[in-house]
Amino acid sequence: MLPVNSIAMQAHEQQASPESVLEVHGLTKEFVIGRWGRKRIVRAVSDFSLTLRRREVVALVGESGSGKTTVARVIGRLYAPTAGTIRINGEAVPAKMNRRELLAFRRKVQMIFQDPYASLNPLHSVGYTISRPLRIHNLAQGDDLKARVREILERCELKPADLFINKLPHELSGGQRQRVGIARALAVGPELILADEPTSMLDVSIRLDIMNLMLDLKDEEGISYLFITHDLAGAHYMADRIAIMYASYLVELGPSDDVINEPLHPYTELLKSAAPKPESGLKPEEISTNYDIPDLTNLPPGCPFAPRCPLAEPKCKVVVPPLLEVKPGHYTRCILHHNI
Amino acid sequence: MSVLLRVENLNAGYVQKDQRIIAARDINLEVAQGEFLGLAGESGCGKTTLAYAITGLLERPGEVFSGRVEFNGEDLLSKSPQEMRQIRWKEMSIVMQASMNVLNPVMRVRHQFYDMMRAHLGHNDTQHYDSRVLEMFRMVGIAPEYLDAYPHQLSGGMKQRVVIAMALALRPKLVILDEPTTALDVVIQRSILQQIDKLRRELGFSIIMITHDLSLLVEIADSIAVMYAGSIVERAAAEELYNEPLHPYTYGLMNSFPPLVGRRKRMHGIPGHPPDLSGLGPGCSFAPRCPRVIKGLCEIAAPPLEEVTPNRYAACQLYRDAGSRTTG
Repeated sequence: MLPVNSIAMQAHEQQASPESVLEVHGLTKEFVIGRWGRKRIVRAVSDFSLTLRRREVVALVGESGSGKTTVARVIGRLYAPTAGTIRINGEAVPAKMNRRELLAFRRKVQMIFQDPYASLNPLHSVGYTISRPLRIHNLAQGDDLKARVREILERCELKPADLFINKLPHELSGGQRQRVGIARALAVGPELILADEPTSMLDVSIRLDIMNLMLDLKDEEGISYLFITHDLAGAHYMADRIAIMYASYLVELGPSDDVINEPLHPYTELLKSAAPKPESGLKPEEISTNYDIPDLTNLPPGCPFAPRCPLAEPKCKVVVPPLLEVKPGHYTRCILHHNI
Repeated sequence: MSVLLRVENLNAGYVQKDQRIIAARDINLEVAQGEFLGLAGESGCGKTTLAYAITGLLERPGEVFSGRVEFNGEDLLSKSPQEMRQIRWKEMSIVMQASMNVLNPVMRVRHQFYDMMRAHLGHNDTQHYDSRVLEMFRMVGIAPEYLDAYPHQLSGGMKQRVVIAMALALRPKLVILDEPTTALDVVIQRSILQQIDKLRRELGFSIIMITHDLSLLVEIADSIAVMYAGSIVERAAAEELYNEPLHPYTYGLMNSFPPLVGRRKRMHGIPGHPPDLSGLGPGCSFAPRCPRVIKGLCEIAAPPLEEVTPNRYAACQLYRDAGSRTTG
């Protein structure tokens, strides 16, 4: 599909390949909505490419409707991609998978969901919830199974495990439920965890605990995360690199400190100026209140952010700019930074 | 500045099987005319119960047990529900958490404004209504075309702004915002708050904003009250609270927000989790999680909210009788 956009990413991928857990290339996902002759196509993800190294955390940041959750769901195989390739440990994930292939895939890739109240079966005890993936993947039986469940619970700071093993979700606090969610993802020993806003429903004083647990697991178990969030400060805290999405496009990608401290794309600038940051002075910046939410069924030609962009020029409204490397490892999809 | 709202020794909560669960305990608050007060706390700390108690919206099993709410010189708790209904929206309005969902889905926005204004103004001068609605729309930044839209034709951020326009339409003296923007994206959130604050400066009403996002409050509020397990544990001007939090909970809450700019470093929030309001002990409710707990003191006696330095209040044993020492 959009080959121009991918040249820079290819170079980047080749260099990262040996150590990369996940390589996504040219991923596009479209949904068909409406019926009876009123069919419309929503392009939720357009030409998305990203490489994730082992023990690396990449945060995917964007507003609701930007396509960040769809990216995770396509990579996690809850949706099939419309176009593009996904590689796990260098091996291509086939477009169609049978049950055995899907099982093998899910041993490597697991998900953590946003709502710890909805993502656990209220009728199943914590112990049962954690034992399911172990059984489905045939990883443990009998006494060994019980021991493994205990070990995983304690690993996720649900200690002592015997206190939690027979509890039902309603007996747990929000933070404890999310720990169960993490424990369930951890059970099969995955290499990649796709975490879809895992802290946004939790109380503020609990959020850091959960983020710290995820960071500890990354170091000790060698897990990579795609961490999806709309909170730029949380992304900066968790991630080695930050990827910013806007209206289905990846618009900026780079090392966390660089993206936050020296953002390249005007949308990243806007996100940064809108986020609370008392550490840089208590007087908040004025932001432009003039905006329209992009219509994904009918994006204007050219840069999707151009209608809101304070720096937009006529040439911005002609073609979608490619994602190009502007500084080492720092990419942006903005012609203001492309010397063409 | 004169005091618009004064809450004295308010206790409110819920009755469960003849047992009183106090969700807002011994609350003392003052809001001056034109002041922006932030009420910060986590879920279950009683901040919404407090807002409902002030506005007379607390319904069974909720109840105000004792105390006084004085608004504009009048005692609100002695008012009948009919009298309160006249005061709400006209004198004080409340924008609730999921207020995007309070709009009637089968009624055009214009008629929802008419309904509200007819109920409070008593006449049916639709021309007058229209001019007021359009003025409000302009203030919150919505194009006049949307006046005849149905709620489903508006985005979440626009619905929220319509509700805020409604809350301001009768020029109330006090607007209570209960997590008005938590369901919205950061950019929309910031632009709505920016507009509300601009309106406050123009029209001179007061705001109480309830949220868990302390880092947002320190940027936009004049003063902040921090609630924990039903009690106000600290109260101060926003800047002072940010520069030097006194209560260990405020300190922990502040450290639960990783900074956006600067270099990354590992942080630690507050260990443990908030207590169950039905099983509070006699001591400080934060003691089990407190890193500076004084053994043998904090678990026994709950400290009251006291003035530590001029206009700075904290409910903590660390600062008891400290007033005389620190003012020198």
